[in-house]
Amino acid sequence: MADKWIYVIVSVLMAIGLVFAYSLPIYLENRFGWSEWHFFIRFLVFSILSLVIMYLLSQCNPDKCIGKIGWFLLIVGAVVIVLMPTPVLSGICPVIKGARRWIRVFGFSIAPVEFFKVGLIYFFAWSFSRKLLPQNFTTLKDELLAIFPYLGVLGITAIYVVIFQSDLGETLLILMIFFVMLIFTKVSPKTFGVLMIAAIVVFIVGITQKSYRLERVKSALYNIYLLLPKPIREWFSLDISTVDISYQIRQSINAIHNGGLLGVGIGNGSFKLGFLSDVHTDFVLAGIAEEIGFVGVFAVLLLIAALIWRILKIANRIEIKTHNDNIYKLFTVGVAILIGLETLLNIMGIIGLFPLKGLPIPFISYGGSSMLAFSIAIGMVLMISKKAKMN
Amino acid sequence: MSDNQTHTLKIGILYALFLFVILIFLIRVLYISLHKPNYFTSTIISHTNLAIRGKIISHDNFVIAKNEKMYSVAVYPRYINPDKKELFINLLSIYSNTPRSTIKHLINTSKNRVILLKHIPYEIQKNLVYLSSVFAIKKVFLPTSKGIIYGLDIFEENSKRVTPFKDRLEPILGYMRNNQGMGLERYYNEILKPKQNGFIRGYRDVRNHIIYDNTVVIKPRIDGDDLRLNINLLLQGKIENMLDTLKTQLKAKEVLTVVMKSETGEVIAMASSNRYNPMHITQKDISHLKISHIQYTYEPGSVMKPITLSLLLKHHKVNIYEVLNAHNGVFYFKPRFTIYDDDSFKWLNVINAMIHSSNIVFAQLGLRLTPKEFREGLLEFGFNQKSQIDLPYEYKGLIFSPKEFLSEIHRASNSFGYGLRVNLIQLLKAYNVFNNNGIMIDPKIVSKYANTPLMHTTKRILSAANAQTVLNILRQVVLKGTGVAANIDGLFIAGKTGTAKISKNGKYIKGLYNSSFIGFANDDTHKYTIATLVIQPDKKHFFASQTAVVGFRNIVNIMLDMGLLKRHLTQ
Repeated sequence: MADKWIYVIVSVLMAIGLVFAYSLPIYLENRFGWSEWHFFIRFLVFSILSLVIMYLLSQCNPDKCIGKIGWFLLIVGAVVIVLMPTPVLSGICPVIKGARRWIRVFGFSIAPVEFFKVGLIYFFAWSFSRKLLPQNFTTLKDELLAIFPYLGVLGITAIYVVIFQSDLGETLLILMIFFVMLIFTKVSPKTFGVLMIAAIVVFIVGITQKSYRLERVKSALYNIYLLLPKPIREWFSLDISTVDISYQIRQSINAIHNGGLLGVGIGNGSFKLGFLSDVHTDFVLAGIAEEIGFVGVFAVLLLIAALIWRILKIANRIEIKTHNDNIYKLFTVGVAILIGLETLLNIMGIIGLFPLKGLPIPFISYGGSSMLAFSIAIGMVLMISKKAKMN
Repeated sequence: MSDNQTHTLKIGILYALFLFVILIFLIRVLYISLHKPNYFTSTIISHTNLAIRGKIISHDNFVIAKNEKMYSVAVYPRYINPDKKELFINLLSIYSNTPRSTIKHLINTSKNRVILLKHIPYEIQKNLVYLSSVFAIKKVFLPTSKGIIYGLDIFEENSKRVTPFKDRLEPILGYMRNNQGMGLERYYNEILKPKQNGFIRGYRDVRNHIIYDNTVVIKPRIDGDDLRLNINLLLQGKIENMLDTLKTQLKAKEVLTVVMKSETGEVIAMASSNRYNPMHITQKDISHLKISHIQYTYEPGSVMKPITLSLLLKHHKVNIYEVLNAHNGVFYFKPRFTIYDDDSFKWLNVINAMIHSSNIVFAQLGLRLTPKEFREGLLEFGFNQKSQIDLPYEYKGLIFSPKEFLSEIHRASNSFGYGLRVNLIQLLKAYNVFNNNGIMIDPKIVSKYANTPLMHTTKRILSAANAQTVLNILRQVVLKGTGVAANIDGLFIAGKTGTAKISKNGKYIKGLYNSSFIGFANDDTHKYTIATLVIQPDKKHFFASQTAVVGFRNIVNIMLDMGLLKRHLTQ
């Protein structure tokens, strides 16, 4: 039996998302002359599709299917991402907000990187279980040599996603997933440290390439600085008058404040009326905070925490009998990391403690590609859950 | 530790880390929801839409007075991007049609809020609203530390009263300023004045559109009601031009006239030679502010004779064919009280006494009335009381007290129009009785406001037969007597002249006269009562036939030209 609880939690999250897909983007719908049901209907269609995909995947036999799906997502995702800037696909990849991140097919926008991430998690799980789990390395050099090919893969991915899609967020996420999954192999802490330092250096270079990224990092550091106790702040004695909190973060915090503990009521929010851009996607939690308050945000995060708890429980309960079981275990952990990291980066982003935006809240934020990709990942976890001894 | 146990431990630590970050987030959200950020800007806004004063519209649909909304533009010079300052000055100068130097000077005077432009009409305000969006695109204004952008602040001033026809219909139209005023503007101030400013408060979207949900507060804007006049502005204008010429020709102090429809009391023209432009009242206009039609009272002289006659007819104390002694023009009535006529006759019947305007005959006739009959008769004809015309601050004039009426000298003087003070509208209203079958009607300038027609109260004060008798005699005055100059072929013209000496400090001053003509101009379908008064014409032509009658005649000619009167060709 596949895990019922995951299915239930995901459905509840989607239901919450559906309510706010109706309530929040009203300003956008109004401005573009769309129907008030524009986002609701699309969200509903994707939710139903997602639930069907999850159910169908959960019925499959993992030993037969996981590998095929994983390789398919990885290879097709990679090929599409590579071809997007080339004349082969650029015709159907319009430049939106300065980057080609979406393919338009049959009136829908698909972000291939969302599916590619799931494929990559499978690839890491598959590869780690072959290369890094079986043997114990003796020297740092051996370990680094073993890890080097992955760095190549990550490097190529990063170049493509950062340069051609201008999406530092997704790249950072992929890197973080890689590092967190690496914890679950037998790589020594020393190697891990070396890699982390290398990654941080690369990242600082990446940040300084664009002035707006630097501004965001400054703004986030400023926000963290403000959280420090007063004596420590005085000790630093920074001149903070030049640091500016970005407009979106300000509006997001205004919305959270306006919501208070219990919110102004579903549909009554006013910061969603053009003040908070992307209120139905990146800043959905700020919109939810305004309408159902701190209590509502707490409930949403509780559901996500429960979902991750359940996924990690499956990972923990898989008994290692065959080589495949290692893949399943790592893959399941990878999916939990994916959901957890996206949530954390998003929530820290909306209160300005992390210099990032563009990552959705799983199943709550509007966005067909991310929802379908998450559903495929969850579906694969459900498929695997049949192997776990949950009781 | 087995692999599995390490694995479980790693998962546990990872999950604990996850929960820890979530906890930080929740604490931060809790803090934000309870503490207002210093850059918090409310999404509630309010707008006020100032209500305006009602319009005044003539009978021929000209807007004589209206309010125009005016706007001011303010700016915080300290938020103007120094690199875009030239652009700001140039564009604002072009869009508002203001010299560059003015704008440049003003934004350099202060860093704080400066009012750059005042009294901007609506058309330019629209352009400036567009310009402020251009400024937003060009980033002409720097944001504050709270991220708020103070751009062009275009706000509504109190609206301005505009009279497109300048001094037309003044001083009747009047003005209103700081609760003080004159004319129609003052009289109908309660009707005209704005009732309620529009107000709206509610949540807004980012473009400042108000959201009409159940929390929005709306008070509708209620403007003042419009006044619709009986005044025919074309006629009014032509008459005013004619009066200006007449005033210059006669070197008079002022020339006044009123044209009223006899059957309805609708005043279709009411003009003075002494006018002013209410938009620019200057020192020299102060004497022109007064509405002489109701605020100048004078001894009317011979124009009172028809009133005396009608009182005699009413009390059956005269036969119009009876002959009285005219004393050859000089009548030693009482010691130190001699009455003179301009033309001397031995005997005159009542009709001829009117035609030749014999003071001597009318003095004798007047004494036939008892003091009570005479005084109450004058009161009934509307003297010594307000004429009920819709204008403020009317002077009601003066008649002798009941005790003074016991004096024969007083009664004899009253008979030919001395010893009492009246205003021109009172005379117009009294005379109108003869042209309206004995029925008195209140004159009104306004026809309606707020879709309510004005009521004219009517009262019969003379039998139709007596009214007709007087009218016929007044017709004779125009055909044969002092009013000959008024006659126009093809129309029924009747009326009475009056040339009255002006008294100052109880003494009549030689060479100072008021000259009036109150008359009627009727065709088959229209009846008009027209009053004309020339105040102090020069000594060469003081007789009414050379002054007021000319004014009357000119008016009737203008009305013929405009088709307000039509000649009866077969007459």
